[in-house]
Amino acid sequence: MSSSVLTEEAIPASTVQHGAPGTRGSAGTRAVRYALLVAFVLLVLLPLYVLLVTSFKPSADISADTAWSLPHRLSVEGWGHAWQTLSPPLLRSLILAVSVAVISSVLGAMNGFVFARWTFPGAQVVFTLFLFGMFIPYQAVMIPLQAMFLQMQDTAPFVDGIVKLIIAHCIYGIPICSLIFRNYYATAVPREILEAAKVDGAGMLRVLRSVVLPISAPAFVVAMIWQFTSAWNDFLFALFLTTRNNGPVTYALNELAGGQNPDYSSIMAGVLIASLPTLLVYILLGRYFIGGLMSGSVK
Amino acid sequence: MAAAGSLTTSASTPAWARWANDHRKWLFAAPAMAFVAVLIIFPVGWTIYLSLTDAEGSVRAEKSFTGLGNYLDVLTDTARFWPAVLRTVEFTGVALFFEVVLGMVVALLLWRPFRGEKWVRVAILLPLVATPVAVGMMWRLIFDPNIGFANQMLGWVGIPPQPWLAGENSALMTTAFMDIWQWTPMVVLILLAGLTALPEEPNEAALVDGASAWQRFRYVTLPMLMPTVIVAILLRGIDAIKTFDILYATKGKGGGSYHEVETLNVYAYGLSFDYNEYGIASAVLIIFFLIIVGSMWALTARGKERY
Repeated sequence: MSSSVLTEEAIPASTVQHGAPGTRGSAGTRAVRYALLVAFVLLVLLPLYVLLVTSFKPSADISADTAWSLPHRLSVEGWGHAWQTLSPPLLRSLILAVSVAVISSVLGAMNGFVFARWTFPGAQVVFTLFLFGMFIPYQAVMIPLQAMFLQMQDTAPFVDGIVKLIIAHCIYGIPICSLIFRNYYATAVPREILEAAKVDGAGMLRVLRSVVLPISAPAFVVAMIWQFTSAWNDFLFALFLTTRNNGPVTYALNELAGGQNPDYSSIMAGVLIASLPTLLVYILLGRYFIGGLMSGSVK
Repeated sequence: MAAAGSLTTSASTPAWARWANDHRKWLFAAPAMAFVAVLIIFPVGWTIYLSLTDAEGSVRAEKSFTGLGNYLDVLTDTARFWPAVLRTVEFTGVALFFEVVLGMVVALLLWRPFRGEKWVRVAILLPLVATPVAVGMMWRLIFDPNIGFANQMLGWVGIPPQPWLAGENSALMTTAFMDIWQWTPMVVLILLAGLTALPEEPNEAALVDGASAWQRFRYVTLPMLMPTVIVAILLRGIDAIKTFDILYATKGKGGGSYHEVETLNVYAYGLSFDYNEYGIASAVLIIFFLIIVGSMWALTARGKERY
């Protein structure tokens, strides 16, 4: 695929270089453009507004006539209930997402380096296999995966709950992380430097340690954010590999919302609590995040 | 990449060091490759094997080989399987269509710099990072037939309340709407990257020749952007077919009481873990898998041939 078009650099670049004088159009088209942009922004933000106001309403006050209004009586009951239910799984999700981010980016760096700059015969075949691995639907492996974990638990009982999810996400994250690092090393580490290091007698590990790793930070950020988010947001693996008592926050949120008479104020507070970490990551590290999404979408 | 291997040989490196290096890199990549083999290829193989057996009840229960029987059962099942296929196609088609069209519109709007661009971008891309289950819950509230904001809004313009998610016929399209809300930004990102990489000259030449904005888009920008559009369709299409989270989070097991949103994916999940019909579930999954691989292959082939 046209991976050259979709480099991470392409996004930020747009803001600077395209002034293209004369293509701005008249005041009329400019007004239309702004109107459309405002409409799209509202489409994104309105549901979030409803979410926020609902979370502060006492359950009894939630009705169709007042869906839009600010709460008459401010209530943090929903938040309290949601926090109480969600805080243990929230902690588990945090452990899950952080471990997955660290482990898979380290594995990805090792593989990416080998694929990009220290290739071996058959690397292309393995690489194609990796790409294939990124496209297979998780569903196609869920039954064997569960059976394998059951088998594993017979000998190692600690492989349960979050540990299972960490293993699964690390494995299924290897392809994308390797790709992120491979693409990064292919452009960021000039072949000449490696050649020079080799001529000086440095072996692979030495080259890796003193030449490659010191400049790997950007790729690490991208891979870690990518893996953090996908582990945090995952629901399918959580649903069949964990239970109410050892599952991550997505599982718990779904449980919280189950039942015939949903308590919307605590569900909406729960929704906000559960999405806050990825949201924070996005707002604080947005630039890199976009980079991560882009290299993820190149595939 | 292949060239790199030959470049590693330099005259000053002693033979034994080269040998060590050659094997160390295998050691380096080996763990990952082994894991990929064990946890990607082997499970897919296992699923294929299960699909040829009558496995049910427990994943470790005794099972016997039934050949293609499960596939026959599945492909002649007009009660659950074919409706699920139809829903998958409907959901994917509608979601993909709107995501690509809207994504193109937004990408074009964001293409040229303007004041406040940074904040508009942050806002528009926000749905991308939201946890899908949470997004499902949020829309469940808004589309609640009794207390939802959607019906309040309809009330403002005098339209009677709609059942939305609770309706037998409207549920699937309501979930498609959620998918569009969450994933259009992905298309925006991909197309924006493509647009930014385009050369300026053709557009300027067309402008000098007096082409209108629409003409410039239709005959200059769009043809140049087409490979990126194909990539966007491919990536979003595959993800849309695989949609599970919002469907399960909003309608629960079996895609609702009338299976309103039961796509192939939800159906296969239900077969596996609600009914423990592992043999049949595996057959459905393999068919599902083949559909994905097939459409991917078709799109890539078409893309390569034309662009």
